[in-house]
Amino acid sequence: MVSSLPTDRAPALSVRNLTTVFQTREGVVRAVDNLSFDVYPGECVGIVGESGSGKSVASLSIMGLIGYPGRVDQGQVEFGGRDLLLLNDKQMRSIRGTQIGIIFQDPLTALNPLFTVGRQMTDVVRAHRKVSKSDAAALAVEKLRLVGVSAPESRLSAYPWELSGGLRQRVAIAMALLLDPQLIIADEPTTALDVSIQAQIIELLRSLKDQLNFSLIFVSHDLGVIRSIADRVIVMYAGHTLETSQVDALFQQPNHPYTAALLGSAPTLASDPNQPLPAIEGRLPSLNNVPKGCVFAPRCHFSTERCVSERPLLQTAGQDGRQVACFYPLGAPVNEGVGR
Amino acid sequence: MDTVHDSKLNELRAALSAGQLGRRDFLKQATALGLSLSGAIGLLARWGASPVAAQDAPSGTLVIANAEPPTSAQWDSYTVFGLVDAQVASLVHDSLLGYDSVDGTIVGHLATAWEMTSPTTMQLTLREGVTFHDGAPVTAEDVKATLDRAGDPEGGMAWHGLIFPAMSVNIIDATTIEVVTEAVFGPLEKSLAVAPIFPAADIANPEIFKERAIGAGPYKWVSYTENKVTMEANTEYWGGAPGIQTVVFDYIQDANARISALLAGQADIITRCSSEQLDRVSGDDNYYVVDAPPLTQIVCIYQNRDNLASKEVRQALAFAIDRQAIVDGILMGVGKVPYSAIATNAPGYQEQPERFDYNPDKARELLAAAGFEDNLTLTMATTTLVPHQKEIDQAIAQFLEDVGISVDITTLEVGAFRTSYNQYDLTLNTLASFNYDPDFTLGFYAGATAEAVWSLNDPAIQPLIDAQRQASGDDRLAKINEMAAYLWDQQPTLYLSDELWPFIVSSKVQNYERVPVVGEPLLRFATKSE
Amino acid sequence: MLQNLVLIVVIVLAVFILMRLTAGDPARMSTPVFASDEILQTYREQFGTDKPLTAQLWDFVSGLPKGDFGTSFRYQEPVFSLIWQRVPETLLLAFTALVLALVFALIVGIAGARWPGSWIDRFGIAASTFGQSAPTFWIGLMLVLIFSVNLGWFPAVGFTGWKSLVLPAIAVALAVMPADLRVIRASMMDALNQDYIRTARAFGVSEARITLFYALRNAALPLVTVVGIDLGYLLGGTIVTEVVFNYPGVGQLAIDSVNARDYPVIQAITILTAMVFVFVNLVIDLLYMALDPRIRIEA
Ligand SMILES: Nc1ncnc2c1ncn2[C@@H]1O[C@H](COP(=O)(O)OP(=O)(O)OP(=O)(O)O)[C@@H](O)[C@H]1O
Ligand SMILES: [Mg+2]
Repeated sequence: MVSSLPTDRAPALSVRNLTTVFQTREGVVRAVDNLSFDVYPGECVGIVGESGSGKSVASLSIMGLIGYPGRVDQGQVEFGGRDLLLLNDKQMRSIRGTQIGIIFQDPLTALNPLFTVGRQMTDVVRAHRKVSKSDAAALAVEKLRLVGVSAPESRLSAYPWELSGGLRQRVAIAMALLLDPQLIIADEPTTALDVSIQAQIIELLRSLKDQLNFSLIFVSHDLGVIRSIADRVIVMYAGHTLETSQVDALFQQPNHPYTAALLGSAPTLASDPNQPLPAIEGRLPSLNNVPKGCVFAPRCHFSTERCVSERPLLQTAGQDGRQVACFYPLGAPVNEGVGR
Repeated sequence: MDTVHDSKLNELRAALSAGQLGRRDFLKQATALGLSLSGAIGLLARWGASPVAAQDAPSGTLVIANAEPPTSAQWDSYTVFGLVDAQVASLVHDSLLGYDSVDGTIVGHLATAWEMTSPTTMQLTLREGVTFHDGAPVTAEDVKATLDRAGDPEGGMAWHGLIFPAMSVNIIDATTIEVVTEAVFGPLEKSLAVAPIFPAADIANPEIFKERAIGAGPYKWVSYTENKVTMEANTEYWGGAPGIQTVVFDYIQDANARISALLAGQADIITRCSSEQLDRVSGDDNYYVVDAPPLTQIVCIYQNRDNLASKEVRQALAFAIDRQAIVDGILMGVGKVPYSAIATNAPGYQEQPERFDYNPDKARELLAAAGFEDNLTLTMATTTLVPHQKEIDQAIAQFLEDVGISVDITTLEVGAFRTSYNQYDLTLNTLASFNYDPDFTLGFYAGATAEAVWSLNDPAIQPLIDAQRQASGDDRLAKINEMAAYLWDQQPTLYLSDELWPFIVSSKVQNYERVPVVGEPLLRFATKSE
Repeated sequence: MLQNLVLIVVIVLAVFILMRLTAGDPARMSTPVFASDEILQTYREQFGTDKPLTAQLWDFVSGLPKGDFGTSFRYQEPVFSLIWQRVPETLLLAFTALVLALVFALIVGIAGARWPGSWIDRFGIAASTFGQSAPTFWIGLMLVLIFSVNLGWFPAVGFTGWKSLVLPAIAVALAVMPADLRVIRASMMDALNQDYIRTARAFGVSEARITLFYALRNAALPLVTVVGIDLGYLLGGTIVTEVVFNYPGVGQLAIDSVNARDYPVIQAITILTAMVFVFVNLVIDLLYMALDPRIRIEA
């Protein structure tokens, strides 16, 4: 794992102040609020947060895939020297699948049940390259082999629902890799899988990343999983970034009370899957009714008047670009006379 | 009426058409030929109105839309009762006698002269040189074969006994025949005027009637496909080529579709219209209405037994029901209340002194006298056979309830209704005469038909029927009225209304006229401008 | 298959018996009230309705394997050829209407699913609400009034060529279109919201291809179902329209035959309709299998 920021190179992806809103019956909700982060070539950035915290919306916003009733309200997504948010549909389409690949959570629903694996993979190839069907099929076979699918030729004629869960996700990964993108976004690629298969898939992704040297955004609600693959991590909560840090540093000392709570509740790969997880008390706030102050304040054991009335901004806390949005970060020197 | 010399009349017509004969002179000469003055005026009205039309080659297509198809693809007119069957027969076939004018005067067609040589014998002179559509001449043998069959009591012909008495034909020579009836038969002329003459060969091979019709009439039968009967002008017709080239009888079941077809120009005449259809064209110069119904009565048929066996009760019903209100309120004027037992346009019709005008008090009185006081219940079946039948039946029931008679109404589907004749006390129906003579309907009141239609067995009636049959001329009209008066007093049924037959005609059609028969004998004089 | 055969036999018997028990005497339908018994008897002999019921049933059933449905009372023609003459017109009407309805429903339904709330979507919803709430005969009447009587563009009645097809086809299409449109719109909307559509989009597949290929393919099953229902409706649903437009099809023949108690024609139309119905359902099942590999595997 890289332990220092690769500042010597330009980031592959640079997200700035990304804000995505949804028009709902109750009003406009901000599903992603002011998200900023960089992904350097070959780096894996993890995004972690509870369900509904805005991880998927963030991923889709980067891909330009937010549709009605949502829209990206502001921000920049710098990729390959361009702001993706300014591209037209056609330009954006030429980037999807070729330069940015995506892996979705549930390969069963993410793959079309009425088309064979081969058909879906060759379609992607032929959407971008003028190649014959057989050449496209050859490429598909090559990528299937790369992700460890045995007898890949015969899999081409299989329908997704004929495959096992793990195999299906390998197919989805092969599809993301088809046209050798520089960046892959994996949105909870293991959540739908058995624990034993989860580990295999994570291992596969890690080895593929090392081998092919693409950048990876790895989304998960599971810090344990993030720890096993990511270099850096962004902790999201109700659309807000609460903390970003190098993974090791985060695990050594979570700065935000929410991160600490997540760590406390995080299952590890080694933990007994039959034991119920220690959950964080309370629930994610409704996006229609986000607290005025710190978004986590209602569930935070340490919240004060200030936390309720004033929103803490994301501030640098320590080295390696570590940031936290908390008036009273954990493990920090006691300021303003309030100790813990 | 005596002999009318048709050839002479045709000469007059030609002279009139050519403008060589003035109108007054025409009338003078026509009456001199034995034609009644009104008949002559009728001819003048028609022939004088379009002096050239009859001389031109036939042109145009006339579509007549009916609410019903032919009864059966069976062109033997003597076995079927349908409207279209009669329409087709009246054009395709010719008869010994016929109608040439709206006043219903009978003139010679295939016969040029006729005369009663005895009370049961009519001698006729056949017109020479007339051919059937296949080119064969119309001979005395054809006439004999046709009328012998119609007059044969064992022949199984549906019209036998209704229009035709037991009769047979003697051939005197090639152009002279005698029609001999078994008994004196007053309506014989009228019957012969609706008796199509078939080729003897067809009569010998009746299966042929399922395929086509051949006659000597002004139109040739062409085809019957998809509910359309198509006919073409017979330019060889002895009376001159008809004015219109093609005539189509189309069957359009839906009333709205019929009026739409007319308004869209797809039909030129729609027959037997309702008040709703008449409203659609009222005030529109592009259409006119011709209303000359055959003798058609809407009656509420009584079963003359049980409680209705009493004349007082039947008369009470007549007083209880406001017939005029039903005609005005439900038939919206497409009807005419009679004050006798035959249709108001029937020869011999006279208003009877007791009109049975609406008088519920009188009705209660009569009922009380008959021993009924709010304890009479009658059964009634209703359906949609007669126009507005359900509303009319409702109204009748209401009027009867008002005088303390309860009516037990059963609603039946048309088929079931027709099969249930004779099972209910009251059923609405229509009676139409296929010839222009009340004898047709008067005959229903005796014998097996009387039993079947009205459960009637009144020995006083047959002599009345016979009396009018055996009379002739004005005497016969008096005898008809005598029988009608008897029936009227007896009230064996409710004579609700005459059924009118308003036909809506496009103004493109000129000289379209009707006589009170079911068919269209005057259609040959009509023309059509495009 | 066996089940279908049993069904048809039951229909045959039911039609035969019900007609004769309830419908009344066909001889009476051909004659006026004053017709004498002898005349009625002549008609009954001609129709064969004078024979005992069992003999009539035997005559009828024994003809069926030979395709002999008997002779029409009214037309005095073999029933089968009578119906057969009318089949092309009815098929023409049914299929023109179906194509019209489907083309409209597909275009507007897909566009509506793609752009919900757009003008075309609102237009589609309005059109289908109209088609659904306005009775077919009324639509027929209005079409005739406007386009035949007032404008004179199309014939009001009968069949004289393609122009005669336009108004009846629109009337029938308006009856089947609403269901088609709603099913297509809903299933397209559902398909477009599926994860695999997002996947296709995320891999740069064009919108046109996504809509017309991926989503439509997934909406095809409901579409086939609704077309099956349409065909079932059309088997009987053209009747009203045929009457309103005096269109010479099987439906009108059916109505006429019921009115005239032309038993052999009614029996034949019922049986043939039942057979077509069974056949259509079979084809739909086969189509299901062709369209959905999951069903294919199960079968
Ligand atoms: N189509 C939409 N309409 C309205 N709101 C939406 C929509 N999609 C997302 N949101 C809002 O955005 C929030 C974040 O959703 P998102 O799917 O990004 O969560 P997530 O972090 O990916 O959760 P999970 O772990 O369940 O995938 C949701 O809670 C919801 O309020
Ligand atoms: Mg998600």
